[in-house]
Formats: sequence, structure tokens, C-alpha cells
Amino acid sequence: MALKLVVEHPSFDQKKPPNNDGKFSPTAIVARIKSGDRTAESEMVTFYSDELMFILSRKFSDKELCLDTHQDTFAMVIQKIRNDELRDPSKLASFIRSTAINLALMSIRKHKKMIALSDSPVLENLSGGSNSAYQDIAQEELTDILMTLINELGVERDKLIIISFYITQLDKSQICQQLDLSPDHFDKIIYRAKQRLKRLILSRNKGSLFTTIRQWITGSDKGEFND
Amino acid sequence: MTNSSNDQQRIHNYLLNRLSGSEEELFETWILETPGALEQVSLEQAMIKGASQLDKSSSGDSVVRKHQSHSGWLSRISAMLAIPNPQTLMATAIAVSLFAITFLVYVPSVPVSDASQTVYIEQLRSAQVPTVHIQSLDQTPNYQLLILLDDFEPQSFLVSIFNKVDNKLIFEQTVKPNDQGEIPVLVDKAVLKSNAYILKIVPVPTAQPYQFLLEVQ
Repeated sequence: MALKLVVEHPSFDQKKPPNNDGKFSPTAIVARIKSGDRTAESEMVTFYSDELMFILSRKFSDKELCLDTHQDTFAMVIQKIRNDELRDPSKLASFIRSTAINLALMSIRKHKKMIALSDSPVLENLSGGSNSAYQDIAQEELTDILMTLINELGVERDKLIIISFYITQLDKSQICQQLDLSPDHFDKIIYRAKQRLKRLILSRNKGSLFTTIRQWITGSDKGEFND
Repeated sequence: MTNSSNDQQRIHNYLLNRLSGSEEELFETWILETPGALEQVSLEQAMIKGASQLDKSSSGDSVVRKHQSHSGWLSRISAMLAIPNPQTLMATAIAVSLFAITFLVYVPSVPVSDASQTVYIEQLRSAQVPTVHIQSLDQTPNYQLLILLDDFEPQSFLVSIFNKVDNKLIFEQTVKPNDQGEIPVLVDKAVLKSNAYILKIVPVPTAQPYQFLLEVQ
């Protein structure tokens, strides 16, 4: 019989498997797309899809623009790979990113011209405007979860660290100095808090972590329709 | 780039728009290339967004700015957390930090069922001593305590067991990790008769004790 006390080392390198076989090589995927492998195309889209949508959502607040750009980007990237226009396959991620941003900016310019011609106040709507009722509710839920998280932290100092870092936005070095903490210890507390946040979010929502957080945040984060 | 301290800081800075144009480009390429990065970024984003909403809902105005005096937000947060005196929060926090040690302790319920009893390090630091129930279900002569350490933990523990009633020391052993990083402690069942005991674990370098109440059936 054993009483087991397990001192857990936070797993800092937990990563989702990139593909079914656990490997993803931009160079190999480009070669396969060039050879006409349609499976490789969908593998590439799957691998970069959420990440690209996140980046677009950070930069541009208009959801329709992000969705259209997201789709158009992959279509254009696949076409350019097929046409052998990607010079360095190892820089596929960078290529996808720059293609997406350029397409979004081109779309914005096009919209602005249309708006100027029609002389309508559509531009304000394009930049997001106020939150929808759904977003308000979603953000309340996020606030509630964070409150739960803070309350679940048993040590007052840990609460203070979370509050100082995220609400007052004090620098890590300031907090460490004021609370006599090592940077490693600070990182572990933050890491642990985020893992608890993840568990709380997943316990309340059936969707993926990224999708849930994106739904909460979309439309109220950084991003304006500027070029 | 791994999820190191440097990454965490970069994620935080990115979400607060503190990166330069070239840094932002590098960071976004890293997100695209690194499986698992988006999850870390999303969690950090949720923390920042939730915190800003929390601050708005408590004060009715915009996010508290950097370098603002602590007194205002501390009062608001304390009120939300139902802590009567914000100064107590600060004082407690500073006091606790002196004894800070960074690990989680999981205590699986001894084989009564497969369910695990989780004891976080925060609970070990709190005034309430976590209770571990032990029941002998086999004929082996010893109870085995297995403590697993991570890289940042002490080199050894001083493990002591006291009788809860008269505080009499009945077991004491300094234990070092084995090759697997585990600290196995064997305690004779004959020593731990049906009773309540205090199990005290002291990481040797920090000398900060952690205690369990052992209830032996």
C-alpha cells in the first residue's frame, strides 16, 4: 500500500500534435503541394488555420474581412506554391502571414473607395463599433471565470501577483522586487494560474479553448480598419 | 522558441501592443510555426481581457493604468474578494512570499477508491492542515510515501510523523531523491496504529514545513 505525494513539475512543453503523424515540415508540405497532392493542401490549411485567424482578428476587427481574407489567403498561397512562386519553402509561415495582411489591406482600400463613392457612413460599421449583446454576455462570463480563478487561489500573495500583473499591469520585475519573488517563481504562479483558467474554461464550454476565447474577445480587441 | 519565461513575457508584450513592428512580425511567424503557441497566447489574452473587464466592472471606468497607486485597485479587488482590509491582503502576501516554494502536491486517496485527493501547495501553506486518510488493505509491513520532485525542488526532505494528541515524535527520516527524482519513505505499519498523526515534510534548504493530518484506520 502506498500513499503517493506527487510534486508536479508544470509541463511547459505541452503541444498539440501538429498532424496525425506528429510531424509537420513546411518544406515537405510545399513539395507535396507542388506535386499535386491535395491532401497536403488540406494539411497545410489545418496546421495554420486557427493561428492565421487569430493574427487576422488581432489586426482587423471586421469579422467578415477576417473570414474572407483567411479563405483567400490559403487559396492564393496554394496557387503560388503550385506555380512555384514560393522561393524559400522553409519560410512558408512568414509567406502566409504577409499574404494575409496584404490581402486584408487591399480589401480595406477597395472598401474605402466604394464608401467614398457612395458617400455613406459605412466606415464606422466596418471598424467594429459597439459590442453585441452576445459579446457582452460572453465577456461577463470571462470576468466571472477570472473572478472564480482568483478566488480559487489559496494564497493571498498569488492573488496579489495576478492582480498586479494583469489589472494594474505592473512589470514583472516590479512585482518580483516588491514581493521578494524570484522570476522563476513568478513565472510558475502565472503559468499555474493560466492552467487553472484553461480547466475552468473547458469545464464550462464544450468548444475548443481557442474558439471559446476568440468568441469572447472578438470584436472588442485591438484592430482598426486603417491602412 | 519554447514556452519559457522569455516567451511568456513576449506573449504578454505582444498582447499589450508593446512589440516593435519587426518583433511583432517575428512573433506572429512563431505563432504560426509553433504547435501549442496559440493556446498559450489565447490563455494570456483571456487573462488580460478578463482582468480588464474585472477592473471595469469594479470601478466603472477604464483599465487601471500602469504605475497607478495600489490603494485604489487593491480596495476594489479586496471588496470583490470579500477581504475586509486591503492592507491585510498586502501584508499577508508579503509574509507568505518569504516562505514561497513552488510545487503542487497531489495526494491520491490511498486505495479505498481510484479517486485522487488533490492537495495544492496553497493549501499546505494555509492554516488548515490537509487530511490524508490511510487504510491498510494488504499484508505488506509498511506504508509507502512517494514524493516526486521537480527540477526546482530541494535536494532532500526531513519527513517526521508526530502523534496528534501529545505531539510525540514517532518517525523521522531525512530522505534524498532516487534516480527517478522520487523520495520514497517507508513507515512501519506497526508504528502507525489507528490514530491521527501529523505528517510534517520539511524541504531541507528552505526549512518551511508542510503538514498533513494522517488519519489511520
